[in-house]
Amino acid sequence: MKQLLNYTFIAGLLALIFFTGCAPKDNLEKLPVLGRKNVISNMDSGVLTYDTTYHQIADFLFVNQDSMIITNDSFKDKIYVADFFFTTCPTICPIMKAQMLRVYEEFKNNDHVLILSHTIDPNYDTVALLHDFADRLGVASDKWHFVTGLQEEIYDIGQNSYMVSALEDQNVPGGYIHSGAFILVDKERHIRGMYDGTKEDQVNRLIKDIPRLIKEYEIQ
Amino acid sequence: MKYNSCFFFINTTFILFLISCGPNTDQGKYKIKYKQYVNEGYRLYIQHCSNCHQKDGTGLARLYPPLKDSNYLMNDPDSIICIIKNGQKGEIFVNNISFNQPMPENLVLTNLEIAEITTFLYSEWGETKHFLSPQEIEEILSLCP
Repeated sequence: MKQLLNYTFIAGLLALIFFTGCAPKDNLEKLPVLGRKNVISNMDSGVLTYDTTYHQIADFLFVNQDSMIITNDSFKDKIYVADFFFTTCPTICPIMKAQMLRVYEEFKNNDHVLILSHTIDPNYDTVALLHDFADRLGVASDKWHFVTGLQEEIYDIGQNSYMVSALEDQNVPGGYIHSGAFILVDKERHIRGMYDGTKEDQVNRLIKDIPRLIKEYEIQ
Repeated sequence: MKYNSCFFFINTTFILFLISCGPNTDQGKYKIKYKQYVNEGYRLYIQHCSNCHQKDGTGLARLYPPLKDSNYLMNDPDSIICIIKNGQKGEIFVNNISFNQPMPENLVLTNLEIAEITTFLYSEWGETKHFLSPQEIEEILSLCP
C-alpha cells in the first residue's frame, strides 16, 4: 500500500512538471528587437559590463493630412505601425491599404496604437490630396497619420531606419518600386516586427503581435 | 431479339436528346464558350482588378468603387468596357457615392481579354448572362468618349 502511494506521488510530481513545462509560452515571450545591435563593453573599476544599443528609428519631421507637424514626439509613449506607399500606386498599395484598414479597425479604440503611412511620391501626394485620400478611406487623422515631406528625407528614413526600400523606377506600373512591409515600432523607437502588408496571414500575425507588445509594457 | 415499337421510340428519343443538347450542337457550343469566357474572365479579374476592387467586388471604402450591386453594372453595362480599357479620371458617382481616385488604363488587355472580363463581371455581378465577342468589344471601344 505504501509503495503504491509512493508511485502515485512520483507520477503526480512528474505530471505537474510535464504540464507546467509544456504550457504554451507564446503569450509571455517578448517580441524580438530587429535590426543591427551594438554591444559595447565597459570596464568600470575592474568590472566588465556590456551595453547593448539596438537599432532605432531616426529623428523625423513630416507633415500629415491635417497640415500638422509630425515628429517622433507625436508617437511618444505609443507603439505604431509604419508603411510606405503613394496614392496613385496601382499594384500593391491598394492591398496594403485594405490590410492596414484591418489593423486600424482592430485598434482604433486602443490608445496605445497609432499608424504612420509615408508617401514616397510627395510631389503628387500633397497634404490636400492625402487629406482627401484618408477621408475617403474613412479613417481619423489623429489615429492614422498620412505624412508627406522632403522626398530625400522620406527615402532616407525608409531605407536606413525602417529598412524598407523605395526607389523611382520608370519601368514599373506607377513609377516607383517599393516594399509592401508594415513595420511595428515600440515606445523606444525599436523595430519589433516586420510584416508583408500584402499578405493577409502576415497581417493576422501583426494583429496578434500588437497586444503582446502592449503587454510587455504592462508587465514592467 | 425482337424489335418492337417501344424500343424504337426510346432509341429515337435518346438520339434526339443527344443531338439537341450535346456539346456538338450550337447550344452546347455556346454554353461551353460562355463558361470558358467566364472562367478566363475570373482569372483576369483576379490578376488585374481585384487588388483595388477586391476579390468579392465590394471595392474599398470611398476609394475604390464596388462592382457588386453597383448601378454602373446594372444600368449601363457597356460603360464599363471603356473604363476597363482607358481607365477613369475625375469624379464619378457609384450608387450615389462620390469616388475620385484615378483608375489606371489597361492598354495591354486585348479585345478578347476585355470580352472575357466583361462576361465574367456580367455573369457574377450584372444582370445579363450572355457573353460579348471581341468584335463587339472593338465596336464599343471605337465609340468611347
